[in-house]
Amino acid sequence: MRESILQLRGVGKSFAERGGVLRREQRRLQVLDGVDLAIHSGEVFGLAGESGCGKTTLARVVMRLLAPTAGDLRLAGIDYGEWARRPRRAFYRQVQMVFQDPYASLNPRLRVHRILGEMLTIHGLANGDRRRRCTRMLEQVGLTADDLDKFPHEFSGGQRQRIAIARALIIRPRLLVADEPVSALDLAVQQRIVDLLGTMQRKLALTLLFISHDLHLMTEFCDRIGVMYAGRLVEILPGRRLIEGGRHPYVQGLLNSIPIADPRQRAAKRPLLEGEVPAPGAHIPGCAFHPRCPQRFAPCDHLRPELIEAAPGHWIACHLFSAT
Amino acid sequence: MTASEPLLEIRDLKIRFQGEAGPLNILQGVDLKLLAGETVGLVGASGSGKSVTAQAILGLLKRPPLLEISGQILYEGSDLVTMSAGQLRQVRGRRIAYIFQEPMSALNPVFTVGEQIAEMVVLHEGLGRRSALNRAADLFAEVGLPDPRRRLNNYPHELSGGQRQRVMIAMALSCSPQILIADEPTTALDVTIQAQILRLLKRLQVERRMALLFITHDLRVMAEIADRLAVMQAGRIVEEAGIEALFHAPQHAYTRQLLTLIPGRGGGRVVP
Amino acid sequence: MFRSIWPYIGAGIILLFAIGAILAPWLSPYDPYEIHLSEQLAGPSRAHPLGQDANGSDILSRLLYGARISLAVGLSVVALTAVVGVLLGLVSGYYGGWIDTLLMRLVDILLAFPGLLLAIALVAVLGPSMRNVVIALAVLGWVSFARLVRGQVLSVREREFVLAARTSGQSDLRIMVVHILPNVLSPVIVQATFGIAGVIISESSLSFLGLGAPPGTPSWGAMLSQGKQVLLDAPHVSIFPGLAIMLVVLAFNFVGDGLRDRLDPRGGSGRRG
Repeated sequence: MRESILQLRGVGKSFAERGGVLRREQRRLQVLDGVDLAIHSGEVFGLAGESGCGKTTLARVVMRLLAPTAGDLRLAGIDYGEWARRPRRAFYRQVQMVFQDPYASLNPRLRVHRILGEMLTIHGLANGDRRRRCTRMLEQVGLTADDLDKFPHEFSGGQRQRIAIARALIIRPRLLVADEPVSALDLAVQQRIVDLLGTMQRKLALTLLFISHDLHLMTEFCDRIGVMYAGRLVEILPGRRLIEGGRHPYVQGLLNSIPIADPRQRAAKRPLLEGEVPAPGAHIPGCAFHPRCPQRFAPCDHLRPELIEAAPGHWIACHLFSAT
Repeated sequence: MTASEPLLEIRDLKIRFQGEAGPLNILQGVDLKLLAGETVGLVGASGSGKSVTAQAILGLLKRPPLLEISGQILYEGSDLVTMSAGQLRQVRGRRIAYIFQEPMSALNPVFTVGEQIAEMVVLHEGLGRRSALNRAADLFAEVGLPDPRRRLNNYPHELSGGQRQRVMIAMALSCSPQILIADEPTTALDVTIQAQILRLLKRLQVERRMALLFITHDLRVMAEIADRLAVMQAGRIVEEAGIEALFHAPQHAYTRQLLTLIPGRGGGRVVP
Repeated sequence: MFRSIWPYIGAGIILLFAIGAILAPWLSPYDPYEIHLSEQLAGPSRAHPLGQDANGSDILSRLLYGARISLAVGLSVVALTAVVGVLLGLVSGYYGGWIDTLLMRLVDILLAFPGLLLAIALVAVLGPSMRNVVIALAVLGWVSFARLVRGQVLSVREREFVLAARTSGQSDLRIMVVHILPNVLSPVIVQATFGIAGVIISESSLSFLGLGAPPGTPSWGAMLSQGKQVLLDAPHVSIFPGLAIMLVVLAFNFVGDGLRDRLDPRGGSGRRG
């Protein structure tokens, strides 16, 4: 068993929906609900799911941009409560993030050398050769020294995402969280950015938490994939096994929904999921997926399925697999 | 009407826009035919001119940026390019309907969706208010909205993205169009909802024997819905073929390049 | 830089008044305090282009010196309130929570007071002087800046580059100063130009009521007040200071409108109508 760099135990996050004159809490929106997850050192872990499933909230909780309302997290073996007592930069020396929208994640008023350089300054790595280190980092992500003095708006979306990757990696973090890093980009550019992330991951022995809704993209790229539904992880399995080995009824429905680039295999012949993802405020007893599940049976509407290891390395939260 | 006679025919359509640095040739001679009961896909990167083609059919291009338009868009023997605004209104929304990518911007936030669709029905069919609402409920049922009567009283923001797109489709159907133009109608949706909407559009197209012009940048979506595919690049259609031929024996280099960019292709996929 | 001519005209007028104020000792044909009782209320003449007031003092000279007071009060009040308001708005918007609740309730309470009445009451308590006028106007002036900046911070705070700044490990202070402040300043600048215009009117109003500069000081408001008693016999005594106030306020508003259009392309064209 490899060492875990990031561990989540029972992590929950709920938001208060307030209303009325007194801004009293009307109800709680449960966005994350008891997430257990361990990410191994050096792996590419993919987190998949549709919008509203909680994957972005999970990334923000991991990044300490949001505080969890339940459970605990450990990074590099140290509890988040302990990290909170240490200087902020110590935590972010370990973990960095690449955001979804490269048009929003770079301060429009700073030149590239400042965007990269301030990372070195903050983390006390700015000895003399600052500009050279920035240049080297830029070259590693496929840009040139000439780009150091430009502003973000002078770059294309793909180039901006390269800058964002350079910013995250220039201090050599151990874990990189990438939240939908390519979904705002053109298809042709997407593949190149994913390739870049893969190259950097191998070169720097980085651990990568890669969040995406594109299962095809992930299956080729991720060592393991976890699929989320309504704030919970419903299945975790090796990435290359996802397409053929996904067993959870939701995951199968999700896979059936993906359009296939072959007119001979039209979805018209595949069973599709009915209905839509529940709203975050909806309290569904038992398995959150049961109202849409074509295979639901007795326990599903009142008993919550736990994530159990159905086969080595393959975890499923579904009564179909826990009944035995 | 025979199968070989097109419902709509675009001949040598050329469009120039006023750009900041001078005139831009947006369309450089587009030819396209739409037959009854078939789905034609128009695929291309952003800026290739596929949306402009759709807007030209509907007469939605405004001056500026429109500078010059030439060629013909023939519909039932008359040319939509030279048609007067009044005549065009007769065609647009009656015989030819349109679905946008972002339904939220096409719906008025201060009216219920029932009021909005009933208004269309009153306009097109001259029904009274009560029968218009009944008709609206029927349309909601036809597009698969759960609990259609109750949905009539919802405001657009109370619906999910997928439900809003179903409302848009119902509004498009309210005039029983011969031609339905859908511009990236599933791009903003999650994959499970996208699959539902694609299946819905396909079913409606077959049942109502409409011609569907489907526009998207996503070839995977095309593989699911189109019968015939036209590939656009820089204002031209570079390849046009039946869907299977285009996927399995692409002729043009650009088409081949687009096909190699599809994620997951090559790996193949077994349907469980 | 500006699309219309009005901001330039506004800037030109402000520049003229500023030069007039700075060079008042050299430009004024007479000592503004000089009294010629024999020439009371004399109309415009070759020697006194804008006429003379109830004390026979030269109105042009008093207007030039009055510009010093109006501009000084306008600039100092706005500078003071902008700094305080921006700081409080920044902290309030960035941290949120109880700090934000407390500050915003205070803002609500202060906004519930009729501004000029509060200023009158304050000057009445503190005693009429220029310093107290500045204090009285500043007590309420910061509120609009704080509210404006807080709203801006709330939207900028959730932008991804600010999240990225947080995950880069930098301190809150640095995030506020380097990443948030520059992105919220544009509307503050616009608000400041309108603010100067407002303060000039308030200062004139207070002086008009005898609550501003000590009697005899050449302030535009005080001059207007003085002219009020002889409005029918010698209208020039009130017309020229009134015109000066109107021109300067209008000029600042022109510049404010121009800056708003320039800095915030989404804003409407506003009061020009």
